[in-house]
Amino acid sequence: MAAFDASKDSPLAMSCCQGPKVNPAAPEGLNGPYPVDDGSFGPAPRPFNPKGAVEFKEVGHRYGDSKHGGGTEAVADFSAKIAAGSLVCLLGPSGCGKSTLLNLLAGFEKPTKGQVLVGEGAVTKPGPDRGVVFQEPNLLPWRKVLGNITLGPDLAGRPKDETLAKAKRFVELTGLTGFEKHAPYELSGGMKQRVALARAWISEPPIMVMDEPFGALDAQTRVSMQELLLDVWEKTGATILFVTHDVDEALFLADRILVMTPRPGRLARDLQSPLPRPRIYESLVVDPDYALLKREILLAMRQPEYVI
Amino acid sequence: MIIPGQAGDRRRGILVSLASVTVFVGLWWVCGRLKLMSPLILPPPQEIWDSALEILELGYHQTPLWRHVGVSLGRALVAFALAVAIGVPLGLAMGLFPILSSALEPFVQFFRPLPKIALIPLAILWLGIGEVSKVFLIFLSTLFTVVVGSAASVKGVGLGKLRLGAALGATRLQLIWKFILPASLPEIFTSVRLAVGVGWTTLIAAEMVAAESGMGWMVMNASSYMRTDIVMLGIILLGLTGYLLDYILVIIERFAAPWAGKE
Repeated sequence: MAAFDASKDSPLAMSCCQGPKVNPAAPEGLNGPYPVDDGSFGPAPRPFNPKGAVEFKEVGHRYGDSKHGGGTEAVADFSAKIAAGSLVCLLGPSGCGKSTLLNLLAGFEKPTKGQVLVGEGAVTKPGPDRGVVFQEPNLLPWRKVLGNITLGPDLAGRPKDETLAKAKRFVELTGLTGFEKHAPYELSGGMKQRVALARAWISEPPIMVMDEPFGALDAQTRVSMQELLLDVWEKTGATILFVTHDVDEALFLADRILVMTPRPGRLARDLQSPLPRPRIYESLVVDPDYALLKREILLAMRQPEYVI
Repeated sequence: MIIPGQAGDRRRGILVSLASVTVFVGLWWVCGRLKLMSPLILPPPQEIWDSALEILELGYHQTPLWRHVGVSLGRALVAFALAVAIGVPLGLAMGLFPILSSALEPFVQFFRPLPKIALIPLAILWLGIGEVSKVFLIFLSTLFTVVVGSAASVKGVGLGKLRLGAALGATRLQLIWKFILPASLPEIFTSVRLAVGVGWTTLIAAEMVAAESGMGWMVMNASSYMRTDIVMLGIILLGLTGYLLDYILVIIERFAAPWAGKE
């Protein structure tokens, strides 16, 4: 756990209780004064793991016959540096290659061009330093809820009592208390996705890779899952790369939103969110900054020539 | 058409099944009563029942009825056990290793559709006319369905589960034991059920090989004496035993893979 404790001496890592820096000149929104938007892409003022930094370095990916220029170009010339401990949303229309970028980061596929770097090394294969949450909960039906949550530590051969203690914490954090002994097929879609979250988070990976995890849920369940995600994130400090095609979801969750163009996916807009935390869904939707940012994103997604 | 189940559907289903069987046997009985057909061609249920009681008491060809059933079951069960014990690991290995699959696929696809009766002469030539050749014929007709089904079950394991395993740091061995094998279990059960059905149909062929007891032999033997009642009795017993075997497999699956069909 030591790695998650923000050092007091670090200028980047402030204690979570200090609150964001406040710009006295900024107008007051419903959520109180806005933090200074000084353009620095520093990590958010909460605990974070320095191993959680991610960099996409001129990444290109082509499916099919890449040698002869055939196949489908999913991602082209994508570069972005993601600060440790931040929550970044990759936003774009279906088929824009955002899931491809996640697969490259998770290590399920190798980029045909460029490199994906995490911590200090290039990604070559999947690994437990990157937790993955898929759109499908992908629970193992032959294991109970608790068994699904402890899957990672069980595979790594961690001691049983240590694993159970951790599992208890994440069962509580994800609101699954009382469901430990249920079979996965006895749960609703939202509950299944809670198990998937707890399963990915129990090993406390410095990086979390999430591929539209709430895409299949109904609107109400989705909002409560987003709140749950923010809650767990603030307590653990992982870097989250979250793929979605839902603009409101990105606005509610993200520190930073990377808007992608249709295929081949390129970076269209790189937007830092001015919205303060903690965020309250009902207040956020009437916040003028929220509306302005949403307008900018919608325009970027509608017009490919909007690309800068 | 499948409609999502409501409470009581299962019980209603069983009642309808029982009713349809009762109506069928009733019509059959009425046909016999009205003497619409010669008992030589279609003996009425009453006559079959009487013959059943008779050979239960006296046996058929000096062999008690339970022995005919037991001998046939014994041959089939030994063959099924061998086919599952060899076929499931072999099929799984073929599913896991494409090279093995390429090497064995031609043989599997050659033998699977082959009518096993055609192998009787070879079976006798190689294994004699004892129990071994009978078990061998049933074994062969069961094996290939198990192999093909088990190999397909591995390919049916979703990419999502494999990626999940990889992301959680599973080793190759863990991927096989903790992900692929349990995920294949429901489909393996389905293929074993299919294979047992196919194997059971070979019983008659197997008992054409110099047998002196068994349900299949009883049917063949009774037909040469024009004992249609005993032929029908044998058919009914063969059918019911096959039904029972499948039901036992369904029960085992319910315990071994309770999640099947619920994902």
